[in-house]
Amino acid sequence: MKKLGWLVIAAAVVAPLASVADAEACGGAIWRESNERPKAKPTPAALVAKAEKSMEDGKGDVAVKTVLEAYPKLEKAAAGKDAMANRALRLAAVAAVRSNGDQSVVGAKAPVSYFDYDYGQDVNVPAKLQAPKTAEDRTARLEWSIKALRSLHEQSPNNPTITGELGEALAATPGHETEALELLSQLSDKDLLGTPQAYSALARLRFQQGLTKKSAEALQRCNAMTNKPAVCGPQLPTNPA
Amino acid sequence: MTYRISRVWARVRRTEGKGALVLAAALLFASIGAACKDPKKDPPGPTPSATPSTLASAAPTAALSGASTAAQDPAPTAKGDPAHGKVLMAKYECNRCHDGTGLEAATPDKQCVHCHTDIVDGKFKAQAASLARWKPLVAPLADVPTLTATAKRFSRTYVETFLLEPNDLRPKLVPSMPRLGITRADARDIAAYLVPEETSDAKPTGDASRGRALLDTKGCGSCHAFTGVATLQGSAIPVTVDQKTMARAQLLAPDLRYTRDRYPVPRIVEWLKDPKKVKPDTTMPSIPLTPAEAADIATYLVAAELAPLPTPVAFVRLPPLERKVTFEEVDKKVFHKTCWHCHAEPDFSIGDGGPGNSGGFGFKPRGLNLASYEGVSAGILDKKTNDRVSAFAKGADGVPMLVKALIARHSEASGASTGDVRGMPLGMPPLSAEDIQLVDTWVTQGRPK
Repeated sequence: MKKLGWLVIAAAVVAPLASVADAEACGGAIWRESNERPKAKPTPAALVAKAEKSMEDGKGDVAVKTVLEAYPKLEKAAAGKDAMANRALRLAAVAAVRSNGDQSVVGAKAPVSYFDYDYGQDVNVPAKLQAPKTAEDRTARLEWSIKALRSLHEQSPNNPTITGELGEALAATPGHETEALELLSQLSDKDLLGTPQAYSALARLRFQQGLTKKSAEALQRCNAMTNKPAVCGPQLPTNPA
Repeated sequence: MTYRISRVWARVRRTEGKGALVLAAALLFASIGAACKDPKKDPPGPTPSATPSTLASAAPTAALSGASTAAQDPAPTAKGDPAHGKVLMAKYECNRCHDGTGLEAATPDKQCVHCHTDIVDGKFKAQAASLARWKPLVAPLADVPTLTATAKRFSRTYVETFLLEPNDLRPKLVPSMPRLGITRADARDIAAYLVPEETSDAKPTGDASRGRALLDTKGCGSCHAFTGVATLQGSAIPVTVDQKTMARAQLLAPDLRYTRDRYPVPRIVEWLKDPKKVKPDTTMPSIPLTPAEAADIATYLVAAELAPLPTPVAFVRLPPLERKVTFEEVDKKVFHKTCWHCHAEPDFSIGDGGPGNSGGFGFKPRGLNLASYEGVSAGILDKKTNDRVSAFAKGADGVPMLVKALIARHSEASGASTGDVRGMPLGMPPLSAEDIQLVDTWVTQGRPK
């Protein structure tokens, strides 16, 4: 009877250990291992911040790849409740506009990240951007930017930054010049146009309309804002050809 | 402050390095107590001490004139509504900086002072490098007086006046009490809540000269300044106080010049006899005094003849610099160092861009984001129309709105009226003339990025 008692106690101690071993055999070990390895992946906020820095440094391609790392399905996205996703969308849209469609999430291959158990290490395949193949492709990418920025603008109509970027996108896309001129002019009149690129677009649109004096004013603002002559483009002639 | 600030911190922790906790905007709702004169003692008109009327002419800024919010309100007549006062304490978020408000403490992300204290004490969860960077910035903003036992200490009129025109009265504490957008009626109700029973004042009955001698021999000068009289002797206090408590006592010790405004005489005597009995969390040590000695000191505190405060030096707006100034420089030296904490980017602060952006301390959201070039360029929400207007719009005087606010803080600090322009940084020490010149130059040059 005494032996039986010891057996019961021993069984009670061993049983849980056995079940742990079983769980590991069924994949628990892998699960545990994957949980234990350091989580190195940056947060979306950190990625978006990094992308914005890249954009500021003139590395639009890096910026787009970085936001894709945070939001791989950005191409299908519209403005929503996630503030970081909205920033990523804005950034992707503006990058496409400022590169005339070259640096776009449209058609990009999303990044892939996985843990290679054979080699016991993280594998990160970065996003790959695709250059537009045709003029239509290029226009489609600019139209995507307009759509993205329009959805953001509808969500935040009182945000001059987004409005200015929408104006910039419209100005870069054939067929939208009138709306672009209206948006950019309204902001400029209130001194709420916040980027040299937007002033550059406004200068170009005004010049096309024959508003040479106002065009020169916008160009002057552009040049005052940046020390990169390429942003504002060449000095426009006083009279359109 | 922010905040927002809890959520900011949460975001800061996640983004690591995105949120360099910049001191400035930590609108510490600080130091109850100020250079405000008690209207009962000083009828309207020039006084020897700094009053708005005398200083308005002493430190003029052409752009900033007109009646203050307080002055537009009717003169005080009623006692005030304590219950409404408590509601207003919540509205103006007094608990965001002060303990002892009678309200629940603000959430950790919103409580400026607790957050700063945690950073200074190394308890805040962030990377060591981040903490090391933030620590020197917030260390001067990690303490404010508690509002415990205001009912047993202050004059109600004083509290009301201080809320309307907060002035710096603690020489060693960085000023941080925000100038609220408060009406006289609201100030009166809050004062009624904080001091429900007004003690009738009484004439001091002690011997002022003995009181002066006691101030010197009991070591009061080791913590307190007393401007306007001969310097107090810095003899040691006759009780043992640990070093940390002593350091805090020195930090919070008010200039005794203002005691006569802050306290009714009977309360000064009670306070001197046993400060901890009146306010258990006070840093003021209990100095052994007989009732007669307490009365003598109280008499000197309220009766000593005070020399007028020095005339504040008028702010001089420096001409624009001739060299090129970029946003990068302005951001580093001013926006990110001083403004950013209250005018943050909501997206990186979990939706709360701080009091200066998303609203707080009773201020409605103004949407001014000074965390990025685009944010600065996006302007500010107009108080009346809620439309976006440029932060650089020039008034009739030709001074850009942003620059005007920075200059106005100098006027506020010297007691001058600033009309409806609120000085920035709110409640904090004014920016140097050179820093304002930097911002001014940047604006003049077309705000190069």
